[in-house]
Amino acid sequence: MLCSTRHISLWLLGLGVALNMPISTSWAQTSKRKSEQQAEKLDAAEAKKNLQSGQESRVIAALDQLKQAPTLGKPLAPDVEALLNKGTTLKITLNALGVLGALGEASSSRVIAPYVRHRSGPVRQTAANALLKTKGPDAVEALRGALRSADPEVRDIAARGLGDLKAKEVMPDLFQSLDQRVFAAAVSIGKLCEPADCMKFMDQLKKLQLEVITSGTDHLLFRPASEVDDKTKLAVIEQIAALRTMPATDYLVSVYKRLPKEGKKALKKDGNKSLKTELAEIIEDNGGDLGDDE
Amino acid sequence: MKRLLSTCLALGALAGCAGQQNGFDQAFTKRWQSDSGDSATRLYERLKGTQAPAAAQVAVGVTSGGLVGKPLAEGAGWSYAGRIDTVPQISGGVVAFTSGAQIVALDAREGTLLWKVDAGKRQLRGVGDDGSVTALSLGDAKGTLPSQFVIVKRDGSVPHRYEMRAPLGVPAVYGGVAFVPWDNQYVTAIDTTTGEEVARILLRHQVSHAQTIGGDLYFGQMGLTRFDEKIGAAQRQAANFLALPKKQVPGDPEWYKDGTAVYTPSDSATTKIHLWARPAASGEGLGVAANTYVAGYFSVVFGLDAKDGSLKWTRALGGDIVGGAAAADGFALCDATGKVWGVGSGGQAPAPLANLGKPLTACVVQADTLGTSGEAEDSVAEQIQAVLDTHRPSLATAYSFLVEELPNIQDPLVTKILIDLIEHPRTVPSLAKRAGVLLAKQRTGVEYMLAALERHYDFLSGNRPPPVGPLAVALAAIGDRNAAPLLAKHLNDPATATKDVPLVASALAELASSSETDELKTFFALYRATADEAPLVEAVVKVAQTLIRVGGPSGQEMVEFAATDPLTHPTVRSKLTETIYRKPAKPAPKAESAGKATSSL
Repeated sequence: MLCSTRHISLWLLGLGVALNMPISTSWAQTSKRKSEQQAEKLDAAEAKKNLQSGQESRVIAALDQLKQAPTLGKPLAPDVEALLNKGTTLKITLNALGVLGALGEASSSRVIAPYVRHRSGPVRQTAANALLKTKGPDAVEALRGALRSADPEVRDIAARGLGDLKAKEVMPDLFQSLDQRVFAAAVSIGKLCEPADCMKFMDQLKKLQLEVITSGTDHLLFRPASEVDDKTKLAVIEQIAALRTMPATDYLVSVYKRLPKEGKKALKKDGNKSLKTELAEIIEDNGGDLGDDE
Repeated sequence: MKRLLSTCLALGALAGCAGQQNGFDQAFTKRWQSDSGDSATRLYERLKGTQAPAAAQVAVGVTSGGLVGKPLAEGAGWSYAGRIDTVPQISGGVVAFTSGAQIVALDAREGTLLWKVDAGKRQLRGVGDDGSVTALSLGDAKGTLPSQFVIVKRDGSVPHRYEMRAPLGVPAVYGGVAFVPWDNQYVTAIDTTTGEEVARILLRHQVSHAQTIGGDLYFGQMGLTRFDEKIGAAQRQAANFLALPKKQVPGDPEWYKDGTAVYTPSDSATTKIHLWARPAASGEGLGVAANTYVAGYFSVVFGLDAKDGSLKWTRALGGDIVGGAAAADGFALCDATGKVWGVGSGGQAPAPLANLGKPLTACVVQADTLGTSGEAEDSVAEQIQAVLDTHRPSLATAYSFLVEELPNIQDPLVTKILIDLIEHPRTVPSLAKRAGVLLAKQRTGVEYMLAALERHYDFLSGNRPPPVGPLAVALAAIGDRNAAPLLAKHLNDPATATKDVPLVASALAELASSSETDELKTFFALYRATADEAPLVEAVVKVAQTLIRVGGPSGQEMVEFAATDPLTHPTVRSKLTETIYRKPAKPAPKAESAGKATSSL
C-alpha cells in the first residue's frame, strides 16, 4: 500500500509539472500527503475482514484502525457504508459515521444522510458532522433539511457548516435560521454571501448582538475580492463603526490587525485608498487605537 | 280563611311589626292539613283571566360604581350610582337590589327611583311585581336571621312585613296575590291587600322560585310547574311540569339557583355559569320554547336540544357571559364588556341588542321576544371550530365538552377540527390526547387527513408535527392507499412520536406498495439493531413483514440477513425469525420454489 501511494505522489508531482504549477506548492502538498501516509499503518485486508465479521468488537477495532489511517482507509469507505446501509448497533453506527467523515468521500454522503434523521440525538449529530466532511450535493441536501430539525445541535452544526460546503442555494434558509435565532447561521452567511446578501445580513445588526454579526463578518471581510468586493466590505465596516461603541471599535481594530500588511499598496492603482487604509481612518475617527501595527 | 298576616302600615313601624305577626307563622307552618289542591284550583279559577303586565325588555348591569340599564329595543340607557350588594333582580317593570341598609327599587326601563325600604339587616333574595305591588324576600347571607317577607306599594309604603324561620324563596305577584315559595316544597299564596293566605300549593319537586314568564306563572327550581288548571294536582305530581334533560355541561350550571340564598355580583360562579330556558306551551302540556335551552360557561354558550340535551349550536362571545334571559325566539346574553347579544334559538350568529357601555360584573336581562328567526348560516361543526379557535385556558372544560360532541356530528370538517386542535400549541395535553382518540375513529374527511400528513415538523416555518398515529389508524381503517407514501415519510421522521411509530408501521402493513420500499428499508436499517424502546421494536418487526410483502427480493434479503445477524436487536431478531417462518407458503407446489422458500429461512 505504501508503495502504491508513493507512486501516486510521484504521479501528482509529474502532473503538477505538466500543469505548470509551482513545483514548490505541488511538491509541498504531495510531501504532506506522503508524510501522512508514512505515519499511517493499515492492514486493509484484515480491516475489511473485520468490518464484515458481524462481531461488534472486531468491527469497532477495524473502524478504529481506519480512523487512525484515513488516507489509506479511503478504499474501505464502501465497506463502512455497507454497515450503515444494512443497519447496525448504536456503537458501530456512531463509529462508522465518524470514520466516514474522516475518510471524507463524497460518495458516503448519500449513506450518511438518513442518519441525520435518526431518533438518537448522538447519531443525528455525528451524522451531521460527518456530512460536513464528506460534502457533495447529498450532504448539502441533508444539511439543508437539518436546518429544520427539532434537534438544536443538529441545526447548529448544519447552520455553521453549510458555509464550508459552498452551498449558496441555502442562503434563504440560513437567513430564516438567523431569524429563528440560530446564530451559527451567521458564520455560513459570512462565508457564502454575495454583496447584496452581505448587506442584508448587516441589516440584522439592528436586532442581533454584535458578537453574532462579527461571527459572520469575520469570514466576510477576509474573503477574496473576487467573492466580496472592497466596496461591500467597506460598507460592512462602516455599519459596524456606526455603532460607535467600544466593542465595535475593538472589533474593527482586531480586523485591521488581521488584514495583510500593505506597505506601498496603501493606494490602489486607481488612486483610491486601500480597504485597510480606509479601515484605519474609520477606527481613528471612532477613537480607536491601532497601536504600532504597521 | 282566617287572617294570618299582620299589617305594618308604615316603614317606621318595622320593629313593632315583627312582634305583631299573629297567625303569620302558621301560614308557613308544616302543621298544615292538605286540602288536596282544592285551594290552589280555586285560586287558579279566580286568577285565570289575569293579564300580567308586559315585562320590561331590558338589560341591567352591575358596574364598579352602580348600575347601568338599557332597553333592548328603542330607548335611552340609564345609570344609577350607588352601592350594589346583591345581584339585581327584575320583575315586570321593577329592578330591585340591596344597597347598604336598604332595598332599592328602580323603574327598569328608565332607571328612576321607585322607592327605598329598610332591609332589616338583610339582603334581597328575590322580588316579584305585578305592576302595582312588589313582594320582597329578604335574608342574610349566613342564614342566621329569620327570613322576611315584605309587601311594598308603588309609593314605597310597606303594608306588610313579616319574619319567619322558614327559608323563603323568590316570590312572584300575580293578580294581586303574592306567591311565596318556602321550605323547598310549598308555595303559599297571600292576598297582598288583606295579607291573608288564600291558598297553599304542595309541590313534589324542589321549589324556591315563583316567576311570571310570558304572562304565565311558574314555580320551581330544578324544574318548573305551571300555575294552570292542573295546579291542584301538583301534590300528586300530575300538574304541568317541565324539567330540562339531565345533560352534563361545563360547570354543572343550574337553571334556577337556590332562591333562598343571597347572591353577590362578585360571585362569578353565580353569574358566569348558568342555564337559560323558557317554558312554553307544547301540545297539551309544557315544553321549552323552540325546543332549545342554553348553557353559558364564561364566554361560551351552548345551544342544547330540550328533549335530549344534544348540542344544537355553540357560540363564543367577546367577554364572559355575566347574565342573560331566555326569550320566546332566542336568548339575550350580556357579556362582561357591557354588550348585550341576541342569539336566535337556531344558533344564529350573535347580534348586538344593546351596549351598556361599561365593564360589568353581573347583569340581569328580561326579554320576551328578540325578533330573531331562521337558521344559523354556519354549520355546528364550523361553530365548534370557531369556539375552539379562541384557545383560552379558562375554557378548557368548554373545549372538552365540545370535543366530546364532535363524534355526533356527521361532517368531514370534524376531522379537520380534531387535527387543528391536536396541532395547536396552546391545546392542553389531555384534550389533545382525547382529540387523538376521536380522530383515530374518524372515517370521513380523508382530504384533511392527507393534507395533515403532507406537513412535517419544521423548525424554520414553525410547523408542528401532525397527529401521525391517529391519522395512521384512521387511514388504515379507511384503506386509503394515497396515505402510504406520506406515512412512509413520517415513519422516518424523528419528530413522529415514538408511540405513534408502530401505528404508522401497522398502517403501512395495510397500505404500502412497492413504492414505499426505500423508506421501509431505511427505517429497517436505522432501527433493526438500535431500537431501544418497545414501540420501535414493534415497528421494526411490522416493517419487516411489510418489506417481505412489498420489498421484492432485496427487501426479503434484507430481512433475512437481519434475522441471522447477531448484531440485530435480540427481540427483533427472534420476532423476525418467527415472521419469516410464518410467511405464507407460495401457492405453487413446485419442488423448485419450495426449495427456494426453505433455503431463504
